[in-house]
Amino acid sequence: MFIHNFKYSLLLLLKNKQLIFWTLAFPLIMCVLFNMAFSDVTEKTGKSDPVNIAVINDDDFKSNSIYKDTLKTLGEGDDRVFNIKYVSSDKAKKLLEDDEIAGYLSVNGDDVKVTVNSTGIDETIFCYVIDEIKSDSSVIKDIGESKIEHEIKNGNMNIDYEKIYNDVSRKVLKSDVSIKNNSSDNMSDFVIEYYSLIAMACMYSGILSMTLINYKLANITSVGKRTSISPAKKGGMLLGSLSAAFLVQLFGLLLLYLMMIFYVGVDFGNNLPMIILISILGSISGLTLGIAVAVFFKMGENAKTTALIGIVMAGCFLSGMMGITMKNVIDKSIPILNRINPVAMITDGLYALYYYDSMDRFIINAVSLIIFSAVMLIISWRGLRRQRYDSI
Amino acid sequence: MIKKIIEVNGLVKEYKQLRAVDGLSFDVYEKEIIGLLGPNGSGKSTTINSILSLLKYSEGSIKIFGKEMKPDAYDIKREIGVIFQEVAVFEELTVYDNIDYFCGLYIKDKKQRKHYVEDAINLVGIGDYKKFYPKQLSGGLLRRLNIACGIAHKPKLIFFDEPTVAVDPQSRNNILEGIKKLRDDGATILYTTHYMEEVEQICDRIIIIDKGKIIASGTSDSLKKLAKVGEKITVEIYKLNDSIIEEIKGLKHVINVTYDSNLMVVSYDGGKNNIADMIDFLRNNEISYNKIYSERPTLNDVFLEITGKELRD
Amino acid sequence: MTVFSAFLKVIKKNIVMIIIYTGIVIIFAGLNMQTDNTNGKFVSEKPSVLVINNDKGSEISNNFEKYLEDNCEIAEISGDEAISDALFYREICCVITIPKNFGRDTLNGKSPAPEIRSTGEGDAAFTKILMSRYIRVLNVYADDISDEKELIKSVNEAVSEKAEVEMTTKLNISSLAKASTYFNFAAYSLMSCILFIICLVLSSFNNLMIRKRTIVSSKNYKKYNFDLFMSSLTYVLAVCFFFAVLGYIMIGDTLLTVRGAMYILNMFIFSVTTLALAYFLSTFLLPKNAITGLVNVITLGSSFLCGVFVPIDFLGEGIKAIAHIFPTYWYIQNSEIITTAENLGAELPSLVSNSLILIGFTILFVICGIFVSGKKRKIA
Repeated sequence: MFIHNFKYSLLLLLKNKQLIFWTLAFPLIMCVLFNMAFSDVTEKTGKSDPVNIAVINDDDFKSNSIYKDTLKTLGEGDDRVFNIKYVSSDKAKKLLEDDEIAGYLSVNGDDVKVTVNSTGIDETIFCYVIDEIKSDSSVIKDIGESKIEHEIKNGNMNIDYEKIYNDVSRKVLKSDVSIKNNSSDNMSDFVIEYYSLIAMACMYSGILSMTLINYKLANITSVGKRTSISPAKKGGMLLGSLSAAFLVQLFGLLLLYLMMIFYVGVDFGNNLPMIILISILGSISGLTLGIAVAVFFKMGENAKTTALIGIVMAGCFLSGMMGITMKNVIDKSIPILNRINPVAMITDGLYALYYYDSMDRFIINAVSLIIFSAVMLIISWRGLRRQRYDSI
Repeated sequence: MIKKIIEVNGLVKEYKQLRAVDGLSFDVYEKEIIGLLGPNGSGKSTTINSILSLLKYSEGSIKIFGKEMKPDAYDIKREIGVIFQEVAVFEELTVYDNIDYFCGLYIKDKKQRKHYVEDAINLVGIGDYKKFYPKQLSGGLLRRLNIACGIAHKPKLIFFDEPTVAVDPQSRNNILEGIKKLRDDGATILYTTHYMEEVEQICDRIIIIDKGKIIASGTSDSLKKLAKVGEKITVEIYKLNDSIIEEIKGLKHVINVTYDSNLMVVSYDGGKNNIADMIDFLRNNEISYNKIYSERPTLNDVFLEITGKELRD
Repeated sequence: MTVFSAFLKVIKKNIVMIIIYTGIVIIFAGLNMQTDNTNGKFVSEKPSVLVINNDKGSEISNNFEKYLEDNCEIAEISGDEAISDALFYREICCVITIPKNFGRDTLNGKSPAPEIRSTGEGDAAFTKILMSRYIRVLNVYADDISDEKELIKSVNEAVSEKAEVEMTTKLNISSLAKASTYFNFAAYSLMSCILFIICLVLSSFNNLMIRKRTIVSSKNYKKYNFDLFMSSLTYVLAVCFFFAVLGYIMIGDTLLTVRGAMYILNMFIFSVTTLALAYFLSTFLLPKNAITGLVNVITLGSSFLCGVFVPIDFLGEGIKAIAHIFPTYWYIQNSEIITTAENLGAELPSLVSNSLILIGFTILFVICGIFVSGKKRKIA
């Protein structure tokens, strides 16, 4: 009975072109869209563009060598921090109003003022850099003064003020600051988007299993009635059908992985066997969810499909597909929600493989998926085994 | 003694507000075609679904082949074939694959199955359409496919639940002939319909049910005897006086006379030579008429008489 | 009335879907508003960091920690895994570790290096600027000053030097940010609720109509269409109204200002465009499987490309150019203007022109719909 049902279930799925196209193609289409949307994000986050600023180029500024020189350095070269316009005060105001610059700087002796429209990335960089220059210049002044004091105390009358200041400022500005960088290489958070897409594709297998299970239920389809009155044992039949759905699903996942790895270049870490394992467990969860929806939702086939898609999309949302932050927020504030959400389990499992060295977190997710599948099967068991209905 | 194939005893099926089947008891004997006749909603499908163990029923017992019918009575199920009211086939599979799939639920051996499927195709006469998909078939052919799917495994007991609804006359005859042939090959058949002509045409025995109860059963002839009307004579007359109608009412055996849109219908409760007498009567009264013909009572008349309503509502 | 009641029946059948999408927007809006601005558009004043001080005994180290506390938002997270997660999901931008003997080594002129584990982007870069500023001053002074107290005093004086910052904006940025988050995301939920339901309803009605067209007189047919249109519009209005009320519950009084009214008006125009799109899609008479797939692609796709999920500034120029072909793009543009415009009056022309583009889309969809259904009718 297993082989007979497997063969025909496979045929049924393959002949149902709409179903196949949308369950297999939808994740692929989304993958292309993601790639379009995120390819620029990846490039941008690595290196930020220079910030457009203006400096009020009055006599005060021209005479302040520290600001003049430092800003000059920051505005030069390929990896410059600023694109600087040296302008009059009125012109600077105008530029800011027209949103052409993030802000402008005016220097009056010790009085340093930064004018910006609002808060933002560019504005923050601008303020921080100016603060740094201000600290440095205060240090230079302070040390310079104490050096001169020292010279005077030593009775040196031929003080070369300029040389002292230059020496000090060179020392301050050129001094290397060493900060040890322990950052992980695997820090691209948008891989979560792709992981949740894989998870979605896994869960979409529910549509396949639901379609096939509907054919076995006498209260849903007339074909189901025919099946119910036959002497064929339900267990073997269901197993055959589900295996067919599983096979189609694996094929779809394979396409998706090939596309992600070779076309998009998503980083999955190096643990291929574990990636395959979690994909298989995820697909089984999808299949069992489809069974549960088929058995429990007492409505027509179309309404069942929309309900299933709705549930899966909600799961995707909670596991970060529509905004990566969401996953962390849920993990932190309502962890139970993502512990019962198979999409989050798959996403988190892949994330654990990518980001963590230890396997603990991955194993928790894998086990959760097994438990989820088992629960789905147990609660649908009665409905599946059921052969007599109150009404059909 | 003839073997009892189905024994239904005191079957009751209640829905929330409705008693769909109300204490039904009947037996079906080997190699007979038994007709379950009743208007729409009289409980025919519910009865069949209960017998098949698809429905939970409230009271009563059902035995098939002398054994109690249960959902897991696989040895009984193996010998049963069902043709449902609605077409139950896969849209995605061809005619051949559909039959093969359902046959495969009963027959594991591939060679034997291939044989059986071919037999079923030939029986319903859809050999030219093996590679067609259900969508491409006409309503009649679709019904025939539906039947082929139900009988391909050569069951000993076959249920037909209104197999001829919305079927063209040609397919209908084909289907009815097929059913007779199945019986001749040794199958027992339970046939439900609300078309009395079909029942008269093929059934050995008829059970008439209404509102979940058996109101009459027997052979076609024995049932007809239940009707008071023995014969109906219809005459097409263009002009008829009320006095003549009164006069006809006084004739021997006449129980009722109606005259409407140029047709006079005279009902008799018996008597021989009624039509000859009528012709004589019309000639004697110099009434010119166009057509005259006599009818035997139908099951509709029986139903009408018992329930006071038409079979086909 | 028959059309309307049939309409209601379809809605009732798909209520699970509607509840789920509404639930999504509530969860999204609700959570995003608790954790302030996570979408990166408005960067918080200070970067969020986690400081691990392994040199608690040293005044110098403690002073460095205090400097970080003054200039950063200090996160309190314990547990290695929780910290790693927080870093990955950008809850904090970096983890700064002050190594053992940091204070002693500084005094000995060894210029010890603090450790940083960062996301390598945005806020992390700011934090690095903040750190290097302190470390540079510290190391320079440490060469000259050997007394710990004096060193700390000098360093503190230097790093407390800050430029005066003048902010020209007068907008209530945080509440507008909430509103913009809500209305931007509403585009997705709204589109899903409208497209799924209207497409399902219209396609089943369309199929019915082809059969009926032969029997129903032309006048009835028009009335039928009108009823269908009114029912759809009623549904869209109801959804809009619901999202507006939801917005008020989530955002509060900001929605009762002129800007709030403009958000709602913008949402309404967008809903009507979506309705027209639903009409257009339904004329293709696709099977239901295809409808759910197609609608999913359109809603998710346009939401991703037009800046509903990812702030539009993050997207590349090429994508932004493509995004112009989606109504969602213009809706988001308007929403952005309403959020950030200093002077709404000055921006009115662009608001109006964006709305006109949305209306243009509406007309285009309706015309295309009529064209396609005309073709289909001939075939039928």
